[in-house]
Amino acid sequence: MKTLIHFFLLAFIITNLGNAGDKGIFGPSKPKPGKPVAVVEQVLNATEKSYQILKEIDIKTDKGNVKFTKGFYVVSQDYISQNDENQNKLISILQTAVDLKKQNSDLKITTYTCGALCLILLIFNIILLKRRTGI
Amino acid sequence: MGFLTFNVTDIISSLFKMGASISEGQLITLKWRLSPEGQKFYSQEQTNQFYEALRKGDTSVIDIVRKEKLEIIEKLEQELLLS
Repeated sequence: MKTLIHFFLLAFIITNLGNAGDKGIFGPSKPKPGKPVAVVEQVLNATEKSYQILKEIDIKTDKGNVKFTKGFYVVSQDYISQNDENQNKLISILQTAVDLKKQNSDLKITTYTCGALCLILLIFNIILLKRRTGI
Repeated sequence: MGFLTFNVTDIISSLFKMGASISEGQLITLKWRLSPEGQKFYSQEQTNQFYEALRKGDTSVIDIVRKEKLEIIEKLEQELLLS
């Protein structure tokens, strides 16, 4: 009985820790696993102001497409290649998006690891319970 | 080896002394290449080679970086597209 209580307690803690991580209780909010990461097809504007807007935008994921939730600006590839400063900005934005994607992927791994751990504990406890009770 | 510790201003001064000049666009690229953000995309050896070329007054390496930046953009975009 004690083992069973321990198990449920542990499972409860692990599950809630995972949820808390998703909700950003222990740090900045992270993208939810399964949602996202997106593409940057259009990115940049020549002005500093719009760049700041872009920087402030949350990047959300949607089936392999990175989308900027607040407006975006379109600049042709030619324009980017001709403007050194815009190249730098674009690299910075893309790098941020890539980092977010990686973070998202890490979060998925953590969630799956927690799930697997819970499953192992459950099996272990069932075996233990069976041995003790002899059922 | 001391050249490796120079900042952008020192590098530009050295280039001027050697009779080489760089455009505004090249300067932006040079600053990026020497910044921590730019350094992330290059190995230490590549950075050393870059410094070495500049030390010899070869400013064409800055134009190469400009092309490489486009490749970096392409690579990052591809990385994002991969599910």
